[in-house]
Amino acid sequence: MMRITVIRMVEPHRIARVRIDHTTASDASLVMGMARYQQDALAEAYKRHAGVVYGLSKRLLGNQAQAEEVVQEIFLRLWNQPDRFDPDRGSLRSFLLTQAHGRSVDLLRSEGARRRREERDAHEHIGGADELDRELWDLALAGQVRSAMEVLHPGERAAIELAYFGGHTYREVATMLGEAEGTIKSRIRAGLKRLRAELQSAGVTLGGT
Amino acid sequence: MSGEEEMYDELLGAYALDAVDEDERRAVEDYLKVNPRAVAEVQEHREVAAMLAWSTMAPPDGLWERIAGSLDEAAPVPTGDLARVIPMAVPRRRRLNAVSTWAMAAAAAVVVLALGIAAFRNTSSTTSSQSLMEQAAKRDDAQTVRAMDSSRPARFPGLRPTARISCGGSSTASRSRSVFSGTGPASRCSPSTAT
Repeated sequence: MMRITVIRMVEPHRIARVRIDHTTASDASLVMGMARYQQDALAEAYKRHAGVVYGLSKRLLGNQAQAEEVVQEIFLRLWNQPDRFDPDRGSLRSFLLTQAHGRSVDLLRSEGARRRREERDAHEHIGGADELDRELWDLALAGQVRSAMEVLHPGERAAIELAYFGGHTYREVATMLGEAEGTIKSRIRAGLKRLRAELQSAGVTLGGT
Repeated sequence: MSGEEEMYDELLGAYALDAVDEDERRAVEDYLKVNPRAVAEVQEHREVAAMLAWSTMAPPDGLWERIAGSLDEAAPVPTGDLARVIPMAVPRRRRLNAVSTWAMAAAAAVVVLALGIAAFRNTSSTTSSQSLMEQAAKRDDAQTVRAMDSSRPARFPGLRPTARISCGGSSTASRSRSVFSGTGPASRCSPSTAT
């Protein structure tokens, strides 16, 4: 329940401050709060989504300092331009992740830092075993995502993993897997569609239309 | 469907994962401007991708403090190609000022009073099941939003009253001075220029 407390300050000017408990507000109401400069709303959004945003950035960049910069940029941008988020178009989490992914990939491509990551096996990234001790797992969801991944054709799975977690273009993925570019392009798209259907039939709620 | 459309459609999965090169990205974005179905498909792919990122890692200590510390300075956010979204029209916004602070307090007091009455009614009835509590929570949320809207314009075309107030040139003298005027740069009051 959203609670409102009016705190009367004891300072001479006695400005009443309105505090809103955002902990049970929807993501959309949080963003409305940000439009009204309610810092608590941003703090709550950070609490809900910063972990996954940081996790994805760190996987892509392999660098804590850069991942922190990305998180900071993404949340400051949300604060400065909350109207860019359209709740009718999708979830706040995917909105933030999309930006974090795009920004991380830009960094990778501009700095050439990616070579270092190529030694890492992209297949491990889905399980994230390399960071196991630092990660918090939602076991039920993890299981659903993993079994959904298993219904994919191995070629589809590899293409999606290398593109999404490896930050590679489909052309690069094609070279890495020794396949035609068109094949990889199709596999990514078909695989994402299949994953969506699979997750939905497993009862996972997905935003979007 | 034309061959060209098919060509762009084939790219939508890779585009959603940022797995296209710069030229293709621009081409797909032009295509998205005129094709709502493709926009919806990209959004669907991104929601799926968000599920793949399901494992969360605790952000480092101190990061939130750094973010919070930079809010009042309105640190300029890099204008790079951060968001791959088609932005909406951006209305203006302004800082809280003394008038709206009081108006919000007054509105909040009304809500508190209303909640008090509602709570009193709820407790005097015999039902207290979880689902009723949740329904009440939703009502409270909506009530709060309405109360807030009555005091201060927001920036969401679909979610706010039509009134807009910019920082300068207000007809009400007391509005001309922001309580944050000492800390916020003037640009906070300007219309946002996102395109």
